[in-house]
Amino acid sequence: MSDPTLPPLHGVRIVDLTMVWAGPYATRLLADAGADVIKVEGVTRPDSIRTSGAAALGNADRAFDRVAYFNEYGRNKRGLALDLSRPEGREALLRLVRVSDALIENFRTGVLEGWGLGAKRLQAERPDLIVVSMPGFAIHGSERNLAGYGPTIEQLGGLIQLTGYADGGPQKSGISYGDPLAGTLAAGALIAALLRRQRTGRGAVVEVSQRDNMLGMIGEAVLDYSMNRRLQPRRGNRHRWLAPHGCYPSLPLPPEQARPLGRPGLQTGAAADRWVAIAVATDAQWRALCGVIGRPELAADGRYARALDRYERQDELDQIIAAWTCARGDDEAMFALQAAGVPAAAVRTPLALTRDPHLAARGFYREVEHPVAGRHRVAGPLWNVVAPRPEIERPAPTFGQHRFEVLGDLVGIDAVALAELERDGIIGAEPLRRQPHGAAEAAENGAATETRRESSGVRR
Amino acid sequence: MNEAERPLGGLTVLDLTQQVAGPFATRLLAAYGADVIKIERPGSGDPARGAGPFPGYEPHPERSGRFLYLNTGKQSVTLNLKTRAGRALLLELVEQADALVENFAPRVLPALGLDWPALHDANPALVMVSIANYGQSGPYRDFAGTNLTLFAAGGQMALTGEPDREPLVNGGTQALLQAGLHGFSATLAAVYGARARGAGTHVDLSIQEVQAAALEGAGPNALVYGLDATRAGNLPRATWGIYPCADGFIGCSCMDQNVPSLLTAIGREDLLESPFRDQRWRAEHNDEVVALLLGFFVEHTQAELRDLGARHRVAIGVMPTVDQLLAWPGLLEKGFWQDVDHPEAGRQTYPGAPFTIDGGGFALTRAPLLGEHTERVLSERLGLTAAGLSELREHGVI
Repeated sequence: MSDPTLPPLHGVRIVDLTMVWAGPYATRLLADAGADVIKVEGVTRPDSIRTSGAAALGNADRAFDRVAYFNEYGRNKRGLALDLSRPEGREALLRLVRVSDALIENFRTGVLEGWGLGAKRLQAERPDLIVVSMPGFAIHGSERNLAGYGPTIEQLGGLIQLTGYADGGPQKSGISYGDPLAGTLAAGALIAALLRRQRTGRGAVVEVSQRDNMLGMIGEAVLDYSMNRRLQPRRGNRHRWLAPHGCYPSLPLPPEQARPLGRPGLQTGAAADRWVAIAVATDAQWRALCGVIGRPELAADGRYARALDRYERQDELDQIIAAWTCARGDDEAMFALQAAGVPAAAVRTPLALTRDPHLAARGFYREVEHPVAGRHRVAGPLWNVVAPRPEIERPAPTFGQHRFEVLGDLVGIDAVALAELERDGIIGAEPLRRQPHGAAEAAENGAATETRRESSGVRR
Repeated sequence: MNEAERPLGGLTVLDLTQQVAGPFATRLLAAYGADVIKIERPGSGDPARGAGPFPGYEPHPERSGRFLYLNTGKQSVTLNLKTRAGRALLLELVEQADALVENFAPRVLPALGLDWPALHDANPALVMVSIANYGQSGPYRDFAGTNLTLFAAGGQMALTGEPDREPLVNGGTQALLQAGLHGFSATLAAVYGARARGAGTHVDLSIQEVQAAALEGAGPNALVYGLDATRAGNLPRATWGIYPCADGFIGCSCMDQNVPSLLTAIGREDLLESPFRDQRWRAEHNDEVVALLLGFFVEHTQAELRDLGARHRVAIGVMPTVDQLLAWPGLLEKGFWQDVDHPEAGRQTYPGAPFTIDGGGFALTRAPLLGEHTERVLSERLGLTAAGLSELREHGVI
C-alpha cells in the first residue's frame, strides 16, 4: 500500500478544458483533493475570468495573471495555453490525454466535436479515459443549443420562482448559483466514474446537466406539487411553519468603519449596514429568546406560546425583535442568542468572512505565493481530512506557465519541437491575438458565441 | 445496466444522517448504486418524517415530501444508539462498510463513544464524512443553526436581495443542500483514496465553509483587495440580470464576449462597432444600456425572447414554475422525471438523474418505511437469528 497520508486523488491526472466558474470550481475541488489538474487555456482565448478581470486592473504588467477571481479557483492546478483550433495544438492535447485519467470540459455543445476532439476520438487515444462534459442543459436533443450561465440555470431550473420577497417577483441569487452546484456535482461524477474504472477497468462518458442538477435542489417543491398540485409561494425569509424567522437590522457600523465596496478599478462606495438572521425552531427557543431580548413576560404570554400562534403573529414579533437587534451589533446579537441556544447568525459579507474568528480558528483561509500576483490569501480546501490537514500545494498557474514541464517532461515532446510550437503560436505564455475569421473563434467558451460546428474546421 | 455495472456498485454506506444536508448526500450515493443503510431512531426516525409537505397537508411519518425525496433508494434500520447493544451492532456494521456519513451536531457521536478513533479502530479502511453547521472544530462548533442562519453565516445571504431591502435567503433549503452535494462528492473522493491506499480518513465538512468558498468573484476580491460586495438585486448590471418583458420576466446573462450576439439578437447590429462593445463604457453608461435592453424586452414575450436567445446563442432565461417544468419538452424527451410508487404516499413524481455515466447509471427506488429493513440487514449482514432479533426488539434496541 502507498503512503496513507497522501491526499485521496493523488496519482489521478485530469486535463481541464473548463473556463469561467462552474468547471474551474469542479477542478478546484479535484485539485484540492490531490489530483494533478492541468488547466488548458486557448492561447488566443484565455479564460474569460482572466480577461474580464484584467480589464479592471489597467496597465499592470501581466494583468491577466493578477486577477484574484482567477487565482482563487486556479490554485493547486498546473496550466498551459494551447491553440486547439490548429492540428498541432490538437495533437499536443491528444498526447497529453494519453497520460491522463480524465478530461473535463464545459465548452458549448459541439465545440470539441467540431475540432475532432469528441469523446470517441479522445478514448481512441486512451481507452479508459473518463470524459466529463458539463452542458447547461443537454448534449443531445432539442436543448443542445441552449446557452446558459449560472443565473440562467437557476431561472430554467425552477429555483428562482421560489426565491423572493413575499410581495415581489422572482429574485436572483447573489451568486451565479448554478455554477458551484454544477461544479460540485461534476467533481463527484468524475470520481464516481473513477471508482467504476477501478472495478471494471472501463472509461466513461459523463454528462452533467447543470439545469437537471438544479432541479434536484427543488425536490421538495416538486413533491409538493406532485402531492397537492400546489405551487409553493415565495416567502421572503419566512419559514413554512416556524416563527419568528427572519433577517433583522442591526446597529450599522460607524461611518469610519464602513466597508469599501467594489472591485479593483471600480469602487462603488461603502456600506455600513449589518443584519442578523434569527430562526426560532422550538417553543423552548422562543422562551429563551424572550429572556435574551429582555422581554420575559412574552415567554409566559399564551398568545405566542406555540409555533402556530407565533406564525399568525409574526408581523408583531418581527417588530419586537427588530427593536432589540437595532440597538446592538450583529455579533453581539448572535452571541447573546446562541448562548441561550437560539439559532442566530450575523449576516456575514464576503469581507466580514475574511475576519470571521471561527474561520480563522479553523485556519480556513490560506496564503500562497504567486509568481506575478505576489503573496495572497485563498479559501482553503472544503473536503478537509481531519489529519493530516491538506495544504495548498501551489498558487494558480500564470498564463501558459507549465507548458514545458507538461508537454516536455510529462508528454515527451522534445525541446526542438516545443520551440517550434512556441514560434508558431501553438503554445505560449502570453495571450495571442486571434486571427480574423480564424477557427480560433471556436474556442469560445460558455454561453453565447457565433461559433458553429461547421466553421470550426477552418484553418488560418 | 446490471448491479455490478452501476457506478457505485459494491459500495456500502452507513448513513447516520437526518434532516436535509446528510440525507441529500446519501440519496445521491444510493441513486448511483451504493448500498445505503440508513440508521434511524426507533419510534420516531428521521425528524424529516415530520417536516412535510404531506399529501392533503395531513401529517404522517411515511408521507413527508422532504423525507420521501431525500431518502429514495435507502434501506432503513432502526437502532437505538443510546443502548450498549445498539452501539455494538453499529460497530459490527461499520466493519463491513466502506463509508459512514453523519450530520449530527459535533458533540453527539463522541458522547456515545462513536467518535472517529472508535470507528477507525473497528474498521481501519473506513471513510467517515461528518457534515456539520460550522464543522468539527472552532469557537462556533456548537452553535445552533438552521438553513436560514447558515445561509447568513456563509456569505451568500449578504449578496442576495435588493439593495434597499433586507438580505434574502433563496428558496428551499439551499445552504443545507449545497453541503449535501459536497458530502456526495467528498465521500467518493475519500473512498477512492481509501481503496487506493488501504487506509480510511475522517472528512470534516462545514456548511458555512461550503458557502464561503462559493462567493464567485466577491470572495477573492474581499480576500485579496479588501473590497466588499453587497446585495445587487435583480439587475447587478445591464447585461446581467432580470428584466420585465411583455408577459412576465426574463433573465439576460451576457459576459463581455456575448455582447455582439446580444446586440444582434435585439436587432441592433448597427451598434456592433459602437462604444456599446466596450465593457468599461457600458459600466459607465449602465443606464443607457438598461434603457436599450428594457425597451426591447418589454415589447416581446417570454416565448419570443427564448427563441431569439436560442437562435443567437444568448443566455436568455425564462422562468418556469414547477408545473411548467413537469411538462417541459426538453425534460420529457430525456425522461427526466421519475414516477415512483410508495405504499403510503402513493405514486409521486421525483426529479431524476443530475448526471449520467455512459448514458445511465442512475436509478430511483422509493424511500423506506421506518425500520423496514431492520431484520433483513441484521440477519443477512450480521447473522442474527429470529430469536436474537426479538430479544433486541424487547429491549428497545431495534
